[in-house]
Amino acid sequence: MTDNILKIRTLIDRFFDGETTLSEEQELYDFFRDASNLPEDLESMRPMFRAYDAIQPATLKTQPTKRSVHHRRWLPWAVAAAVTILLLGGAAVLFTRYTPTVPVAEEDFVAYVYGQRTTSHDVVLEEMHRTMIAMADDGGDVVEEQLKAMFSE
Amino acid sequence: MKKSVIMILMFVSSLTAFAQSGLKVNELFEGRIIPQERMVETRVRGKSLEKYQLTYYRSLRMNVTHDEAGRLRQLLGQDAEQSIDMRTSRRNPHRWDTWTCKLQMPSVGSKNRFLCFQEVWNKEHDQCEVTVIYMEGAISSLEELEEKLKN
Repeated sequence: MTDNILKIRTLIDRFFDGETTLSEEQELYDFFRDASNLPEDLESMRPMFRAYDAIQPATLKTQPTKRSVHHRRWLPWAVAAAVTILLLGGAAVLFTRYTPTVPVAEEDFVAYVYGQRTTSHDVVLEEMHRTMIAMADDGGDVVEEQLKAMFSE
Repeated sequence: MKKSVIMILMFVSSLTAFAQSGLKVNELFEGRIIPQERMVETRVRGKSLEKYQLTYYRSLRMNVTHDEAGRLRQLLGQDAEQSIDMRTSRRNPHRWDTWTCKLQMPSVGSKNRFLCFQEVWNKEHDQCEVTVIYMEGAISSLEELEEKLKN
């Protein structure tokens, strides 16, 4: 099993270098279709090779002819570039969905005290430090009246 | 060409699935559980956070009812299921009962993320103040975060 895994890893490297023959590619597809208990890094590739296998016409699977290396060499790089662009765009979408709303500015310094917005450094820093101290379990009295008095009408 | 299209589509679909596991506590930050008029919110990004090794700090502080506290705990519990580390603590001095939960959430890129939640119950008046803090930065563990918060 270990030798087979090593061979598969070699084939995968050659696959991404565009150097595999069609029969070697089919060997990869067959492996990822039938193998179980794979290492995590190989398991993550299973969907990709299963998809490749699904789009192979039956006639091609019987042809052991090696493809043009010149044609194959640039393709993985083009795919990698396209995927990188998509990942960067996806990361931007993820960031806005994965976290609370994030301001665009590089530096943001704002507090909303019972609905009233302030960018006073003193107020923002005081509140930030208050919540930090509270979370550090160092205690600290809750002094609501100070903030309420500052923003009362 | 077909292979390229398939590969691109697979990556896009995986990104979509990944995006669906966002923080449940976002509902609170967006004011959908407690009105923003009842909360004190801070949002800090930039140089002020450098000494804490943080890049983003957002906190909410509010007084809540029993039912609201329960709802917030529900959201926290859902996020805790996605966390990679969790620490809880409780202090019970004479008048105040304080329960704190700190979560380290899965990183997004190089951003390590933390969610902290605290309830402070005033036993005499049956009131509860809740503090929620979301942080991003280079801090790598809850232990390191606690050290930074204490300093």
